[in-house]
Order: sequence, then C-alpha cells, then structure tokens
Amino acid sequence: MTRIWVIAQGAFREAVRSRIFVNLLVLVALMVLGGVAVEAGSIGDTGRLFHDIAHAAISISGSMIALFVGIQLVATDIERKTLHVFLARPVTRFELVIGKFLGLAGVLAVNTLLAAAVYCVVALGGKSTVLTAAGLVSILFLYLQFLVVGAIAMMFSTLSGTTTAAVYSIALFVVGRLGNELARLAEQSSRDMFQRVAAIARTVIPDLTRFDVSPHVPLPSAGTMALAVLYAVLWSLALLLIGTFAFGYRDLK
Amino acid sequence: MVISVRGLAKEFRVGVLGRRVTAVHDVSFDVQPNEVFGFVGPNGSGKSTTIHMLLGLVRPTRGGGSLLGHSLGALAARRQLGYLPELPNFYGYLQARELLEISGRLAGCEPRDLRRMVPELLERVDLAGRGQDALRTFSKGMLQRIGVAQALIGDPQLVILDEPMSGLDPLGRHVVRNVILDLKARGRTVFFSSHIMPDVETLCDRVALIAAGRTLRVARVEEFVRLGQERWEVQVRGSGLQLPAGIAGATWQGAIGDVARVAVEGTAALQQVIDWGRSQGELLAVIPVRESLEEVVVRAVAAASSGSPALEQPT
Repeated sequence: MTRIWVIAQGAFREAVRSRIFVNLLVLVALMVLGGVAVEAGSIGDTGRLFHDIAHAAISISGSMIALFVGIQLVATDIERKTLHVFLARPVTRFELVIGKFLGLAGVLAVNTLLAAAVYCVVALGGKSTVLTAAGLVSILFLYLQFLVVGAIAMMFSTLSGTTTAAVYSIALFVVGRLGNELARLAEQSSRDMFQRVAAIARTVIPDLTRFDVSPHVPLPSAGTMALAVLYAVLWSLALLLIGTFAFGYRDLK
Repeated sequence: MVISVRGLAKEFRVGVLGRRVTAVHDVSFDVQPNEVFGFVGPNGSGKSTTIHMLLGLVRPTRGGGSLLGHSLGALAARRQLGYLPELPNFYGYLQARELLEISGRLAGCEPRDLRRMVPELLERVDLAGRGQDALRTFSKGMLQRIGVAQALIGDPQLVILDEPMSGLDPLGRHVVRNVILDLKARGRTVFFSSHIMPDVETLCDRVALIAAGRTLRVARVEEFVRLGQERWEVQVRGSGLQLPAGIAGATWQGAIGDVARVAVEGTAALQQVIDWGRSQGELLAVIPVRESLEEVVVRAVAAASSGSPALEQPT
C-alpha cells in the first residue's frame, strides 16, 4: 500500500505542476464568468444558460485532464524511460498503474472541486443565477465520468505509445459520449447487422451518457446515484485491469 | 553468486510488420559478491538490453539466470538493488530531495531514516545545497550524479550502473569513482557498463566483454591485458642507424639524438631487432609496452566482427 500511495502522490504532484492543469482551471473560470455575461444578455429561461455553460466548462476541462494527463502518466513516462528507475525498485506494474490512476483521480478531484467552487461562488453571487442541489449532483456525476475517461486513457497508454494512445482514447471517449445516439440510431435502423454492432459497442464501450445529469431537473434517486457510482467504479477497475495485464507483458526497452 | 546468467537472448519485434531484430544473441557471465564487475562493449552490443533483462524490464526470449538468488527481475531481488539507467531522465518538476525521497520510499525506507539519508547522499554526490532545486534546472552531469544517488538509497546489496560516467566532467567522474570504490569497501557488489576503458581498468575486478549481442570473454582485467600481443620498444644508440626492411612486426619510431626507437610486436621480430641493434650499435633498452584494456577491447571487437576468434570464448 505504501508504494501505491507514494506513486499516487508522485503522479498527483506531476499533474498538478503541469501547465495543462493550470490552463484548464483558468479556462473553467473564464467560461463560468462568461456564462454570467451571456446570461445577463439573454431573455427568458433565467439561470439556465449560466448552468449549461458552467457544466460544459467543467466537463471539457475535466475530460481533457483525464485524457491527456492519463496518457502522459504512463505512455510518456515509458517513452522518456522515467518509469525505469521506479520499476527497478520493488514495485509491481499493477502497483504502478493503480498508483498513477489514484494520483490522476486526486488531480481530477481537485480540478472538479475548484471548478465547482468557482461555479458556486458565481451562482450564489449572481443576480439571475441560483445554486441548486441538482447542479451540484450533476458535477459529482461529471467527476465519475472523468474517472472512467482517465481509466480509458491509462489503459491505452499502457498498451501503446503516446500518439496511438491519444487517438484511441479520444475515439473511445467520443463513442462513449454517443451512447444514447447510438441506441436511438440502432432502434431506427432496419438493418440487423447495425443493431448488433450497436449493441456490442454499448456493451464493450463504457456509456458515458450515464453520467449526464441535467442541473435543471429534480435530483436523481439515491438508487440511480449508487448505480452510477458502481458503474464508474466497475468500468474503471476493468479498464485498469486490462491495462495492467497487458503492461505486465510489455518490454520496456 | 550475485548475478548469474546463461545464454541470455532477446529478440524484439519492430515496425508494423513485426520484423524481428535480435538485440542479444547469447550472453553468459557470473558476478561474485563484493565484486566490481565491468560490462564492456561497443554501442549497440546489447549491454543495456541485458541490464533491462536482469531487472525484469525486458523478458528474455531465451536463456535465464538469477539475481541475488532470485529469478531475473523478481521483486525480492529488486528489494536489494539500486539502478542507474543510461542517460537518466527524471521528472523535471521534482526537486532533487523529492526524487531521493520517492526512490527511498519505494525501496522500503522509513521517512525518519530518509531525513538522515537524503542529505548524506546529496553530499556524497557533491550536490549538497541543491536538494531544493527542481531537476529541470540540473545540467547533464548533475542529473547523472543525482541518478547515482537515487541508486544508492536504501543501501542496496547490488548496484547496477548503466554508463555511470557518461556526460560527467573530470570532477563528476572522480565523485562516481569514489562512490564505486566506497561501495566495494563496504562489501557491496557493483555491476557497471561503460565505454570509458581507463575507468573500467582502474575500478573493476573482472570484466565481461560483449560484442554484437554475444559474450566474447569474461576475465580479470589483468588477464584481459595479458591477452594483448607482446609489444616492446627497443632503444639502440648509434650513428646513421637504419632499420632493415623485412623485419615483420618492427616499426621505426624515429630517433632522438643518436638514440633510435623501434616498436616491436611478437617475439620473433624482437629477436631480430635485438640482433640488428647489437650489430649496428649499442643496445640500450628493451622496454615491454603494456597494451591498455581499451586497445585489447578495440582489437577483440574488430576481430569478432570480422569473424576471427581474437579472444577465448567463455567457459
């Protein structure tokens, strides 16, 4: 456990000190403030636009951190051979991957919390904005999505180089975000083959739309929330186990 | 035996078509406890790949061995070793102190012990006072020295150093040489690869010479040097001396005043040159010229690549 914790701390430190983290935080702040400005100039649907823009900002920044930092934590380290020194110590590759993921999860938590803090302050301070419980829960659901996206990025980064990992991770992220659309298209399609492919895709690719909770609707039930947490944990674990298993057989030249 | 490998081979698949490239064909050697063991060979001879196989970073295609009484790369073995990679690349955002702390924690050191160890190690590699500096501000030589320090944390039984002198200035080389000698004095085993033959000659008890992924010879440094052809310098005093053509192995080196110098290779040529010197003037000296390890290695590698057995194969 100590070694996993040490690796997690290192990964957290690495990500927090990277420029992408700071830049994305600034982006979130700017977008949330921009949301207020847009809100002020809009007519009708008071508060709705602000919440949508703020959520989009948090979602974009979190997903980008999950994708790019997730890839950087393993694939870039393999290419730069920075991992060699650690793996020459009594550290298993499983401990390394899990430790790195926990570090990433920590960074994502800090990013989401800071973004949520900006969101809350602006929402409470704005004339036409209100802070709702559903708004906060939707941010929690976004965090669950970031965890799964981070696990996707880490899985691919244990299997391949930085560029390949980035391409596959982004592709899987996009398909994962199209979960509902895919189901709708399959229902409308008369072709059996397409329906089967869509069904397989929904089974083997995490459905990221499960984490979409609108801040404008009533709170989801406790059961729905528990299922979402379970779904995120199981998918993250499965992806990390696949990554660790493949990483165990990989030669680090 | 601290390290024992037999018939180690590694084949990589490269490119989209998975073309097979053999990096290591057949490497065998043993490293005894408390030995400073040199691993020598030209670039691309398979030294780093062999080290990676020892550490479990790369799986051997054939062959195997043991490391500190365990299988290659085993966790139990890695508990007792420190490693410096070739051209170490550390996280630039880390401070030197943080790198040592992380390495120490991964090696199983307690935080309270690290508070004592870290300053000591920084001092030992001549980086005292730089502990708070980010590694991205370090020069190549400083990175090499902090790399050596992280390999030493936890006082491992075996230290594996891949090209430890690479990128170091004379002072840095002096620091690393002292570290290796100190490890030897404290009963530790050091395995290091290097291109810098004078360091290998000075520091190592035994040397494994590897070329094109094969072990050419494992021997003590003195044995390696003895393997070199016999060479002498013959000095003869006389006026208007001229070395007769036709003495194979004798080369005119010039004259200082009336003293001529002739370089000689092989005992047959030596006898001929001595006879010539005695007949033409006064034979002043016959000085044996010791072949350096570097010369032996260069000759052995050249001979191996041309297919002739310049050195005995390991038994």
